[in-house]
Amino acid sequence: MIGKLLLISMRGEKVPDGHSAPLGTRAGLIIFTQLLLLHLACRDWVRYVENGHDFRLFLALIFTGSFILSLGGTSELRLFRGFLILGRHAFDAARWIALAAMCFKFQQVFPDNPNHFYVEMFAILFLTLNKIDDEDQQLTALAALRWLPAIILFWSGLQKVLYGTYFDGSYLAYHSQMPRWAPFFDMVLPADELRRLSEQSPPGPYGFHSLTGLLMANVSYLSEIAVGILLLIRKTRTIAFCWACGLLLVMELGAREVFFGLLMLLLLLLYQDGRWLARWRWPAVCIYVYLVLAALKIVTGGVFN
Amino acid sequence: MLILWPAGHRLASHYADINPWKFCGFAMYCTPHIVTVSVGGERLGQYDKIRPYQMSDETKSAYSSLRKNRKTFGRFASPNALGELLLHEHPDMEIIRIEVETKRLNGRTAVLKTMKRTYNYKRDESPEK
Repeated sequence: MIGKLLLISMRGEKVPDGHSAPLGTRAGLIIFTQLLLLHLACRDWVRYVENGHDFRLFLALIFTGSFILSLGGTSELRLFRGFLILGRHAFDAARWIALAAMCFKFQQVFPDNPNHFYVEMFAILFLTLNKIDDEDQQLTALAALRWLPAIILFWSGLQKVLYGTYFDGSYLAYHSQMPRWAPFFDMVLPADELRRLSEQSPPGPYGFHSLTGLLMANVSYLSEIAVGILLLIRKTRTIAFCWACGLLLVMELGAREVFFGLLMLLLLLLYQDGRWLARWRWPAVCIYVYLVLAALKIVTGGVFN
Repeated sequence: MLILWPAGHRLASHYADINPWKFCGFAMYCTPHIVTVSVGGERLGQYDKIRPYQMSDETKSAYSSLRKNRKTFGRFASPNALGELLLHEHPDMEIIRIEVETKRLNGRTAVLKTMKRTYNYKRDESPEK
């Protein structure tokens, strides 16, 4: 009952597929599924290049296959649909294969699965369990998927409050010396603060003294909590979407978790008109191809996690 | 369930030392979570460390498995199997001691706090903490 109410609160209006109207719910979910499968495929290709585990290659091939199959669900790509003959069934098969692959991945990686693995797992589960041609189930899937970024952002912020390591910036100060984070802190913190941080050594105490550092630490968790809540309110979703995109950008400059950032952006785009997802397709494809090429060291990729 | 789980995760992380970065609790970037496991034993009242190269393959595997599991599952990962193996492998030692150190950033003091748990295994007796 509570679950049903929570889903209804995020459903939004049904948008029919059509040329003049915004991209329909069904079409939006199809594009979302395709981009999610592409995301999963590229992540495992990158992981395989990095550590050479056979199961990563297997997963990368499965997700790539699922992505190609899912193209059969897009009416715009009639070439693929005609080529695959299977059409809508290919799209259904793609989701079920991806779900099976995610279960296999869970078993292979457990207990080291990162949090974004669970997010991907839930996203695939919501997409698979709801029929894409059933109008009611389309809205249920959309509502369930929309809850994910709100939960992630809200709890990421609240956990920082519960652990109490952001009020004085102790966690960020502790991490300021890590190579991945150093360029970001060099950019935002004053020189005397950087000098003081470089002299800190275990066990601490760690913390920021400068106003910039303290503001950055406190604004980060407050923003996450605020965006998580604002995403739930229909009237404030556009503001929350823009705020979340800005937050993601800052997170990427610091933590450089590119795949997590891309996953979050994909989920956040579900709060927008389906045309945003359609517009995001080609830039996303370019970014994923670039990340695989960077992992293969064919292009310079910088340091990303 | 997904909405409420992170609260349970926070409790499990606090009381059972499970890894804040894992298990969908969304507590990544909240605190470092550094876990070290060291083993040793008492021989004629003298304490000696047991290094991994002094262990048999089976014990070494149990040791590395405990290190990995302890970092993830916290206190849910029992050191009993390793304790039993070490007792069997070092018959000259009266007591086997397994020490688990967990380092986390303390929110109040901003200091990297070390929490230490020691498990002693005596011959023909159940382990004592």
